[in-house]
Amino acid sequence: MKISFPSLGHFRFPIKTKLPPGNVNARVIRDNFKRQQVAESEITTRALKFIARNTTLPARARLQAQLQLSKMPNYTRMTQIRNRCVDTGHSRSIITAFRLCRTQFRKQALEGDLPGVKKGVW
Amino acid sequence: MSTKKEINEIGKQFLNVKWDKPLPINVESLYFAPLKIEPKHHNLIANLQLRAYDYENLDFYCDFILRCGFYLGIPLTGPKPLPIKRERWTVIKSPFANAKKKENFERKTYKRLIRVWDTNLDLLQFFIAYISKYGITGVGLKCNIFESMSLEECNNEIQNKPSTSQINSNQVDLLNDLFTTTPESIKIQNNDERISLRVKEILENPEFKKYLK
Amino acid sequence: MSQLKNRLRDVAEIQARIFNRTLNPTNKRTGAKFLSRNLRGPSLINYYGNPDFIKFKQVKAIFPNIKLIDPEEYYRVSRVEFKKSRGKGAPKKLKEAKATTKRKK
Repeated sequence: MKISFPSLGHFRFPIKTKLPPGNVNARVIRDNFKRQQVAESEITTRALKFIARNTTLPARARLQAQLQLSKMPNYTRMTQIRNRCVDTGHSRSIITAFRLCRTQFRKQALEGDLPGVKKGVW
Repeated sequence: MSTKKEINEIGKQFLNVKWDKPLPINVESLYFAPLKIEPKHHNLIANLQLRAYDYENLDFYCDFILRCGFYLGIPLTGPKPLPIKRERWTVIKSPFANAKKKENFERKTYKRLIRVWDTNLDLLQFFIAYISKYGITGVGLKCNIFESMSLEECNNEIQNKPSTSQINSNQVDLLNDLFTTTPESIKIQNNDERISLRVKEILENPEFKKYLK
Repeated sequence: MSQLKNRLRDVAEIQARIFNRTLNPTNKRTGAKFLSRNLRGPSLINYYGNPDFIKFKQVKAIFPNIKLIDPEEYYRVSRVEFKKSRGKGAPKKLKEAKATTKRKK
């Protein structure tokens, strides 16, 4: 994969990405950038992984594919992505169904902003 | 949830009221549980699944669907209540520290199943369009349509146009071409053509080709 | 016993042919899972929402004749003015003379 550096002004990432709507902070922007890049390079990653893990192919070809995989930049890896709170950008204790962190989830649930969510009694 | 018996009781109460003019029979029937047409051939055409977080609107909408079906001449059965889906979350109550105090939240998803029998596909589509036009807030409608055809028709269709499985086999050929040199060529299945195309692209790269020998 | 094994293999072969399945009797690792798994990218992209979602500014530009008020912006500005009226606004910018004396220290 070639990484080009066009004139980006003061954009801090190697590839220009659109900012997500809503609340944005540095970590959200970074994670969003990684998401876009992972999605874009996913086909290449898959193809290389397929070659590398295919035992019917010659060993040298597989090694070469593995080398190319490791050469790809970090921001193209799935493991770099972390679910963050859409409203606050917090990274811990995210409730995946709502993409919110626990404090925002509790606040919005009590305000009745999350359809169907009630105080649980059981 | 009000049962059929309860609805009929309410109906009787309404009929005890003395109206100035006699009610039209289809208006009168609104005070009773919806009428249904018995399925004759038991040929299942579609499943309508309704979901909501609250059962009030859900039951009302089910009632509406059944009545629509009756006047369109569609045999319907249901609403059959499906198991309630419960999602539960426990979160720390305080935004900071005091992690022993928790709070529970819950979301129940109520589901109803209405089955459509012995119906023309055009009529079914009209029916679905009609009921979704008068959809109610907070109720989702999912429709699984089952189509059947005779074996002859099926054969004709396969011959006329390439089915998905044939497209897949083309892709497999594309990959298997590459593996004819390998000791044991193994058929490979894949869903996404783009990946196999990229594999081909990489393997045909002159830099890569020397490693393939 | 071996006869039975052979027959089972034949059945598997026919099954694979009819249903267009993969036949891999020696259990070789072909990496097929990397081809057959669905791509995860499309679901990752819009986690934070669609970046092209229409913004208030754009709506305002579409209807220049109508006076539209962004409630959030209105609230923010009103808060700033309220703070200013209590003398709790943002500090004024330092003058040049002051800045130079600070540097000397």
